[in-house]
Amino acid sequence: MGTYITFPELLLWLPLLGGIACFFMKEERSVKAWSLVIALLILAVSVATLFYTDGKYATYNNVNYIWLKYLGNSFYIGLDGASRLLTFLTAIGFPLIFLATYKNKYKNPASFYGLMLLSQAGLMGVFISMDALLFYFFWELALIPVYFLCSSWGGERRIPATFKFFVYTFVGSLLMLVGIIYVYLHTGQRSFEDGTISAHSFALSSFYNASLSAADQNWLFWLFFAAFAVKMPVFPFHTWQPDTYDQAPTSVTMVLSGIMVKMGLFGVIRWLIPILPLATIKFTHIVMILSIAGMIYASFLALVQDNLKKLVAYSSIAHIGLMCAAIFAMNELSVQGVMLQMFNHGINIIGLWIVIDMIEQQTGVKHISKLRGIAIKAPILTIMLVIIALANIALPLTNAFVGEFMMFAGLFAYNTWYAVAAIISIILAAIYTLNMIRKIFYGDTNSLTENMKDISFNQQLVLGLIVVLIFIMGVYPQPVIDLTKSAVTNLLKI
Amino acid sequence: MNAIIFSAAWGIVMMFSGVFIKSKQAPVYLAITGILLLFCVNGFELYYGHSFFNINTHDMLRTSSFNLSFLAVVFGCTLIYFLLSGSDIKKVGEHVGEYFALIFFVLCGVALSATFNTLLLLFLGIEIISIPLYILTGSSKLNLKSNEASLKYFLMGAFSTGIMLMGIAFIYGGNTAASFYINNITLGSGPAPVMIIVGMVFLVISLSFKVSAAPFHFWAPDVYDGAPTVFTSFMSTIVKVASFFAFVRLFENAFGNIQNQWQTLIVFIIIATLLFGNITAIFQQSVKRMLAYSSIAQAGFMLFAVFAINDRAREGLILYSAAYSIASIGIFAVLAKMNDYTIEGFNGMAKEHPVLAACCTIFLLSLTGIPLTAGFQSKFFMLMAAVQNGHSFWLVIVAVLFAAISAYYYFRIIQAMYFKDTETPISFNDHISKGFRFMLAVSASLIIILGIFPELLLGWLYH
Amino acid sequence: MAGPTPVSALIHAATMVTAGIYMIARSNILYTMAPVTQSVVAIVGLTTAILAATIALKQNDIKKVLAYSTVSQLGYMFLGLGVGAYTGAVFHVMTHAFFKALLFLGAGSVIHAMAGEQDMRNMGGLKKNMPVTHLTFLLGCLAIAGMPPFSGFFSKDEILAAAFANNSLLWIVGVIGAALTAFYMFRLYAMTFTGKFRGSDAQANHLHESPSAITIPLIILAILAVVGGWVGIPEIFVHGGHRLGNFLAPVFAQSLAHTPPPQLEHSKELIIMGISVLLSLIALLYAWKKFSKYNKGSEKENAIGNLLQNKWYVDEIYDAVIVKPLHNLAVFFNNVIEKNIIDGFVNGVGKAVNYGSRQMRWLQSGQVGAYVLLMVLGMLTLFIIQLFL
Repeated sequence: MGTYITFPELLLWLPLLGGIACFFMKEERSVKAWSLVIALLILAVSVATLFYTDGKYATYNNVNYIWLKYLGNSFYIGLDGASRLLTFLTAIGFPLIFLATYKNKYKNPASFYGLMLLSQAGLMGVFISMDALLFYFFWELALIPVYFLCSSWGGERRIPATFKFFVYTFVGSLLMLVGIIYVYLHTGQRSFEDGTISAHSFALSSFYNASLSAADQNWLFWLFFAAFAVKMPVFPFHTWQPDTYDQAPTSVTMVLSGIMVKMGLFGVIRWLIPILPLATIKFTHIVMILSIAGMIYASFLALVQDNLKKLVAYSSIAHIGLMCAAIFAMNELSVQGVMLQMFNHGINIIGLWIVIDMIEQQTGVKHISKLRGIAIKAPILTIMLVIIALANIALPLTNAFVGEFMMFAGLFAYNTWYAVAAIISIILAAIYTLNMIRKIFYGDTNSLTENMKDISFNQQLVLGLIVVLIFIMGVYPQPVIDLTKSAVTNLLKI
Repeated sequence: MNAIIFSAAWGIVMMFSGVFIKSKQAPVYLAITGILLLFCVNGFELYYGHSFFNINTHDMLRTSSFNLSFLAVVFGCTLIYFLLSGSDIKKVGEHVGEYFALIFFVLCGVALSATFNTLLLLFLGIEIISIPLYILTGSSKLNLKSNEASLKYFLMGAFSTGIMLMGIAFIYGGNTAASFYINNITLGSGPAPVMIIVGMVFLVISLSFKVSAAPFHFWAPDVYDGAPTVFTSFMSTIVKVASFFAFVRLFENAFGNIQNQWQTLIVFIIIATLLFGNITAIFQQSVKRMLAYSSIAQAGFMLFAVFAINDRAREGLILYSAAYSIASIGIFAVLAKMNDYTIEGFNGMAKEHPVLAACCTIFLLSLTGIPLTAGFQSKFFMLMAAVQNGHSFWLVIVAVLFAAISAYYYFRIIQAMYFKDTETPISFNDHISKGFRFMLAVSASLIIILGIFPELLLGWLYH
Repeated sequence: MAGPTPVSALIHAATMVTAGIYMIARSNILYTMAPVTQSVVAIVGLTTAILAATIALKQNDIKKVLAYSTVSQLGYMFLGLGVGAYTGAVFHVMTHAFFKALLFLGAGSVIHAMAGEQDMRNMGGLKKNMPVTHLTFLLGCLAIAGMPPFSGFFSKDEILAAAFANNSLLWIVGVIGAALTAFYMFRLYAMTFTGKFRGSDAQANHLHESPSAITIPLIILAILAVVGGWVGIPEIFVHGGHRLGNFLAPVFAQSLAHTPPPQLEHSKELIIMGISVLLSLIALLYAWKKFSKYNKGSEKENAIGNLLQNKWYVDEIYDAVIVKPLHNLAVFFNNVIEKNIIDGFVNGVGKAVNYGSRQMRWLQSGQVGAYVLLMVLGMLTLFIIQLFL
């Protein structure tokens, strides 16, 4: 370890090679088993990384290859607190998804699972890259497999919906690319071990020290923010999301909503605020107002959605809005809360999608108005969903409570009125979540739900794990806080 | 020097091959041999720095690692073109050897226009490129569209030739040194004489015509659409990037020190080109026509090299030439084998011909500029060049927005291949051989390799 | 209320509804330091007490009456908190827990006997069939009505005395509320246990006393409802009788030191105590007498009755003022802002590009003459840009 191969490499190559191997497999069973094994291996590696956080293991956690040297770029991947957390989320998300949808039938499963693993590789890359160009590479590459997954295996309107999603994010990331180029041209020189010296540098640390005037930062901020805001998404750049979540195959939706939206938040934490601190301070209010208005707006929209998937999509927009606002509040409590909540939100929303997927697989519908009385037929499913839904509205004892409480407290410290406005969305969240539960689980069964069966062992296992995680993180979030503490303090130093 | 002489000589060999060899397949092999040799002799000059021929050109031709490595890219792309489309050239008509001869003459023109050091040789080079193309465009003798395109191309090409000559004349007249040498045209960076400026605008116009930049692009869609698909492939890629190279070299050497006096002009042309090319491409139903417009749109991006003129721009131009040519040649090669040119014609290709579909997808992603493909690197270098230039920064943002629009039409083909089904199997006019698939896969891998390691190509620049 | 009866008993008597009281009592110093807030608490409490009591007057569902009585009693507790009688409020939480649990479980016993029937209009005369339930229920009613020496008397009296010391208006309204409590509780008692049975024959045959699993808890709770108040006997009766007050004193020490509770003269305290007991007693007897002879349909419809029966239309008002507008706002967001404005803009960009594409296509006419003309125009433009701009 360290001498031969490092953790970040394992996290990247395992899904990449595993995914490519999938394409050459024939049988559905072997593809599924293979991808599950790979995902579990990645999880094992990711768990191991959590134990090697100490500075003396630096060689285990960082690796730097020569790549495009004369531009001052390198293939530098490494793990720090924030990336460890998010790679862990990615690593734990995929096996959960694979397990929960193990019984789902896909046409052409080899490509499906291959693309899933490739998207995992892209996500890992985003979280571990320490060079701007590398980051941009992975940022785009995470998108491409998802584009194919959604367009091939999605619902009826999948092609236009996915294309809208693609163009939206593509525009955002191209604008970011321009921003990256501009910052790059304002960095100092970089010298490599072999004596090569390049005039500018793509290294993260050089980006942090780029000599950018306040006026430059002002418009660069929006170029970067465009990419991240679309990915999160922040109001009013969110309209791709409900459609895409609705049309994508559910396991892809889980990847999108559970993990991929964190790319935006992560980008803000690692690439926006530290590079452009002056502009961040200047535009904090605008971003906050956008995020908080978006929270309330999305919560309102969630109230009137009949489509379960869209309801969860809007609810996710509201939650992400809170996280975005909390990042910009820039105090220890709020940023720490965001770190915690990035993980928790990922787990919870994957749980929600799993339940929705089960309901849709069995009844063939996803509309609240058509479903009734599921509790009678599937009590275990109901209990699981209620717990996950309560976590979604951040009830105490659940994981989301801790994160949201910290974020609200941080927001409150920044500005009372923002916090008060943001809290409205929590109330709305309780309304739409409980209403949804009441409508689809209680009452008598109808023709669609009367033949429902309770969940299978796999699904019990996955949902059980999620519920256990919800409680563990709700009662004892300290490990995550310890893990990300240094990342938070580093961010706030700026 | 090697390239000019060798390509002209091999052109003559090809021309006479028709007399001695009756087989239709033999000229293809002969041409592939020729282009391989051409690549090697040019590589020799690039690598060892001197030519086989010791001819005193009175500095009218000048070789450097920049233009020799560009020629290497051009010959490399032509090799790929021959390998992929050689069998289609064979099907255009009876006189296979002559088509190849014309192509070698074009390559001679390319070599001239890449190494010129006087305006006269620039003119010669451009004309040597153009005249064989008029013939190639009309080579499908029984096809009315082909004939019409050829005539149109010839008429409008003549028009632009006239303009170019006029520009050269103005510059000659306005030039105190009364010289055709491009280094002597503008001395110092003060305001240039009006005669020179007027001459320069005429040159911009005629070169814009050659690279099909708006608003002088109107011939391109019609000609590209009318010409036999194999020759469209050649014209819209290798020939076009050669004209670009001439454009960049002229402006770098002749007008480089008065850059601020003509940049606005180029900005206008870039925006017009991006706008016309991208917006019009969206509506096209025929893939061939769509690619014609897309080649206009790509020209908009390549014009950044003229706009910026710095190290990144030079590197970007080389990369762009390779990335754009390989990707377009690849798609045209597939298209040339198909009977149905509409986008619907591609429906369901992924299922029937997964290798073809995967390669086309890589080509299209490269044209869109998605990372990991050479297309991304080339756009990235162009954008870097433009940002580094510092002038009209907003232009870069406009350009990336248009790049996003380009995704719209490129992805339509991907969508057709992968996500749409068809009842009738795709009909090809030729057998899709293993060799063809292999070559296509090689080209696609080249795109990926260049996308990850662009130094492989750029390393030559600093040899 | 709508839950299973034992759950209602638990919720109403002990757990959920009293959490708010506990929270304010626990953080008493905050409220003591903020007198305005405290007054708001008192007024909210009193309003709740009166409104809920009036609603309870007209309810026919046995559990609904009890539910509203809980709300009303909560109002008293809030009143106590609002006037600084923290001990009194906590005391009332405790005594209320005893008798409200008793009453709910008693009601459950009745419903059980009536085979699930909850409407009091179909009951009557149950005391013959259910002696244990009847007796314990009566004790509960007396306790909640504040009859001495039952538990409710002591706690309610402490709150009312503090209200009087604070503002006599609060006390007057509070006493009226207490009288209303006595009235509706004995309306409930009389309609259920006295008079003739008004249910169906099937129900009549089903009537029985509940098994000991139900009656034993009732008996235990009844004993507590009777004696539970004796831990807080006021000074005027027994010196040092307020053991609960002494027990809780450390919790409220800071608040009491900040604003010492006004001391009432003993004579005054006795008088106000007398008035409230007397009024309640009158209401109690009147209700007992009136509803012992209750017959179905004997009640006349009137406007106030309707208003009370419909709970002051509070639900409807909420619906009209909050729920509907919010829902409409959400629909507006969904249909207009989301679909037309934001998505309309996004899709509009796409449509505009498409439209532009269709229009621009016409430039490509295929005529060489037109092309040359366009080129010449382009040349002119370039010259203008170069030479004049």
